[in-house]
Amino acid sequence: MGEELNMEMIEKYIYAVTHRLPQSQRADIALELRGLIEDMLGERTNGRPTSQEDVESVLLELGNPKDLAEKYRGSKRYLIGPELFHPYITVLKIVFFALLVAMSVVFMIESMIEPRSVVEHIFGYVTSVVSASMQAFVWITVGFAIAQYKGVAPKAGIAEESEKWSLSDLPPVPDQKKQIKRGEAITGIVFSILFLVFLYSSNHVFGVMMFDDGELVNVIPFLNRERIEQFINIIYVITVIGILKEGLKLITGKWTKKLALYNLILNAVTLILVAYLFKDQAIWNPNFMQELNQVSQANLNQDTYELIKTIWMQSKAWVVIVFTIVLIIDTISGFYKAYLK
Amino acid sequence: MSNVNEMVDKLLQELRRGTITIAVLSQLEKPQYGYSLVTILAEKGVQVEAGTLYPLLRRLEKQGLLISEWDTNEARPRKFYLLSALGKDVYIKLLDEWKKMASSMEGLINGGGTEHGDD
Repeated sequence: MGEELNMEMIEKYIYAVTHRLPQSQRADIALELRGLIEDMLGERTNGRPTSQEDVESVLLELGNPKDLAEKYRGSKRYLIGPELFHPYITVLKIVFFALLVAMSVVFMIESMIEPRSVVEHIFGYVTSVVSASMQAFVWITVGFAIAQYKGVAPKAGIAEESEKWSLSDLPPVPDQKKQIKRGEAITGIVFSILFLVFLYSSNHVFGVMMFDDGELVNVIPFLNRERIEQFINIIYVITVIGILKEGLKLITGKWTKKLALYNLILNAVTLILVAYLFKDQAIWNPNFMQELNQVSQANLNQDTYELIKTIWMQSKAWVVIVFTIVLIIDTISGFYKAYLK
Repeated sequence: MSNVNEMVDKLLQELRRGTITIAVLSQLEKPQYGYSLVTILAEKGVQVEAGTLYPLLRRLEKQGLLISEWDTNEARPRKFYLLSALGKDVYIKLLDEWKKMASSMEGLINGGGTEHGDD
């Protein structure tokens, strides 16, 4: 009985070490450790039966399994390592702040339109801030964990790859033109969040605001609510890509060829998704002109109506074009800065 | 006083870390398994914990200084380590350097004591 308990304790210890190691080394190290523990026990017992105290003292001598596994691995493992931790916190802060600002704006507009149900708005505001923050937290953490796993950041730890270096290997102080300003990346993240929040609450915030005596009375939405709901996942993905892109810029800190390439890929994906969103123009509010006419029938004469209609039609066409141009310029300027001498 | 001991322990640990490799290489002309090596080193006054030695042996093997082989004929399967050709060359050079370093240190410690003795 005691024998079995001892074996169980030993196996528990070995498992505690090996499950922290790469799969390929587990079996070998387990075998080696089992041999070691038996040798150590053998030395202690000198032929008499092994007692529980013997096993305990041997395992205690070997020390914390976590430390032993670390010695075997030669490095510590991180979900998000020290090199990535700072940009991680920065991105989190910016995203939370942008979410808070965007949602506060939505909340204020809602309260202005329907002052009577302000309690409901407050409730909705708090819940959406909390749930959006949690979503953001999860996705950002996942993103950075992947970056850590893929080794985007230079590995710290044992300097075994420190080869010979000469003075000419010293990296140049990044060119002002190549440097990515934090403000630039932060603005990008803020815009991504604003994009998401405004599309999400499009039906009551994102539209033409009608004022009466300085009071906001109505909003005629630009977008088709049903379509937005249908496409909400795509909109999420576009936002996540936007934040990812800015996050990469923050981590890298300057334009490199690799970053320019990532930028190209992410922009291309964004463009495809945006093109898909707008593909049949059904995302726009189909009744925009009628609603506008209804609300302000008294004030609109034929000419103004036609003018607004033209502007509306033109804007719909131009949104995608402008979006495309902006993305193309962004991509090219990335490559330009990366290849700049 | 405990402060002095703590400090000494800490520095000693650093000092040992570098010498353990030489100690290990010096004993592996003939194949040894991990625990036999712990015992041999302990007998000669070099205390190494098994938890330090085992990972070190694997690392030296990965670096090509040692070769290993499992012996499964005995009741307990044991992994035996032995110097590789590269390991032998490295050990000879390392030993050379070690001796130089030891004599320089000797000179420093003895010489240094008298020069500043009467300030």
